[in-house]
Order: sequence, then C-alpha cells, then structure tokens
Amino acid sequence: MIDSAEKDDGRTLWRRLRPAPSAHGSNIDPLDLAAWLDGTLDERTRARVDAALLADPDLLETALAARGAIDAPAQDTNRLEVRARALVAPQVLPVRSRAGWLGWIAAPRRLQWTAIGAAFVIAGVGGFNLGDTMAQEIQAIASQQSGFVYGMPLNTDPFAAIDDDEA
Amino acid sequence: MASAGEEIDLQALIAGDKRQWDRFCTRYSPVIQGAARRALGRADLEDVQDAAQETFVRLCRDDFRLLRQFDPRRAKLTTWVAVIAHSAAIDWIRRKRPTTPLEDVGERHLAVEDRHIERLLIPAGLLTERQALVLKLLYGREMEVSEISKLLKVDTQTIRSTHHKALTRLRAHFDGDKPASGDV
Repeated sequence: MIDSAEKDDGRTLWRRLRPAPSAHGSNIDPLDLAAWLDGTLDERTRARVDAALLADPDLLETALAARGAIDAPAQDTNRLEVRARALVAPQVLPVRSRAGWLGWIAAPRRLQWTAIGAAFVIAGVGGFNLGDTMAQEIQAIASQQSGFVYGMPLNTDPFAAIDDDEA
Repeated sequence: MASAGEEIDLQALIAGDKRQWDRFCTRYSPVIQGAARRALGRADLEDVQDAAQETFVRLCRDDFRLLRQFDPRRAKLTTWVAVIAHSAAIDWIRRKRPTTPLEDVGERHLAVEDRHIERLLIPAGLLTERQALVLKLLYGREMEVSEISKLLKVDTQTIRSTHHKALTRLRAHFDGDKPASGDV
C-alpha cells in the first residue's frame, strides 16, 4: 500500500508538471491495445502503447472499458444476441443427390431444359432429312420430264454428240 | 471468459458458417454489451444495445473484413472484441450526439476541458512511459494500486516500486537535481 502522505506528495509533484498541448487520436492498432491488455507485448511495443495511453485520454478510456467489460460482462444480452444473429443469413449449401443420373435430371427445371434441348435436336435432324428426301424426289421428277439426267460423269465430253452428227 | 472465447472456429465463421456466427454472438454479446455500457454511461438499455449492435455490424461488414484482421497469435479474441466494441460504441455516440438532448448526454462526454488538465507535459527522459502511466492512473484517474496492477498485468509490488522510482525522479527534477538514470 502507498501511504497517504506519500500519495499526497506524489499528487503534488504530478500536478507541478505543465499541461501538454492537446493530442488528437493515437495511431495504435486495436490488436496492439488488446495485446497490451493481455500483457503479451514486447517491451518496445509496450512502451509505445504506454506513451499513447498517456497522450490520448480516449485510448486510455477504451483500455479501461475493455478491461472492465472482460472482468464484468453484461448479463441481460438476449435481445442483443437475437439481433446480432440475424445479421448473418443461413448458408445455402449445395445438396448432392443419391439418385445418380435420374436424380440429376430430376433437379429443378433441369427436366424442362433437357426436353427443350431434345426437341431442338429432333426438329433439326428431322428437318434436314426431310429436305434431303424432297430434293432427291424433285431431281427424279425433273429428269423424267426433260429426259435429262442431272449430273454428268466427269469423263463425258459434252460436244461428242455434235461431233458425231457433223461427221 | 477469455479462454472460453477461443473455442470459436474463426476460419469457419469467416467462410460464412452460420452456426459459428451464432456461437460467436452468444459468446461475445456479454463483453460487447459491457463495453458499450461503459462507453454510454447512464444511457438506457435500448441505446446500449443499439451501440453494441454497431460492433456486430462492423464485424460482419464487407464479408467479415474486420474479423479477418484479427491475429490470434497477438491477442485474445475476447480482449480484441472488447476493444473494438468500445471504439464502435464511441463512434455510435458521436453519430447520435447531435440529436441527443443535452441533459441525456453523459457528463463524461461533455467534460472536454477536463481532459486538458489530465494531459501533462513530461520533460523528455524524466520518466519512463510506464512510470508516467502509473502516475497518471494513480493521480489522473484516482485508481487504486490493485486496479492498476490488474490493468497492467503486473503485481502490486511492481506498481509501488514504479511509483516510488517515479517520485524520486520528479523530486530530483523539481529540486533542480539531475534524475537518477537506469530506473524502470
């Protein structure tokens, strides 16, 4: 214990020091202040935080309040807890199906998209085949009407018949 | 209380694990509300909880950016959360103050001029930071030796010794003598 006479003497000496110009804020990392409160800082950083606490009453206030809140936490916190929990929404996790490829198809909207895709493929292939068949039939009809066969062998001389007539 | 706080899986929480966030809220609401209460003084519970809620908002803002800055190798999560909570509550008060009737604002927050008296100019090299801090807490904040010892995480004998050495230096300074060197 410090006796009262020494304390009075100390207070008098302390107050003989001149007032310092006001300081505005200190550049102390909250982690450093927390480590200072935990007593885990190295000597050099501790001295820096000590100096900042001397110069900045707000920082000292924070240190004292944090110490007090840890030693005597609040009791009636149910409402705060409910409000705080509501800040983070439940996470939506991907669900893996055990039904194999049937399960994959049965996933929401996947069946509709699969059906639409299949319809496009069928319409495309069917349309192509239909067009090819029709083209062949048109060629056959045209050949019968003109007596001319579409398509000529490459080794055929187109003027051979004219040459024969002249001869 | 402090050790229980380290059971939270912080990495899972940051990754968005709702269960971890809920556990975090349960575990730290008392400390956060306690720090907000100390910042607001005599304010009603609703205001205290609004200020405390500000801490939770800060912690989960920008995808838990603030929580990502926490380093468990440097400090305990409980202590860090308490520091953050008090700072957040002070900011909440500053934002709210223009709409608060004067009679509702705590005396401590109005006593701006008193703070000038607290700040004293200590000649360079006269006292170590620790000696000056001990004197400030004893005479500026009127704290007891046991309270200071708890705050600084040292035993009471160390506080008394630091105080004694500081007074010796101050006496020597005001008597015009050169202060002894080598004291801590």
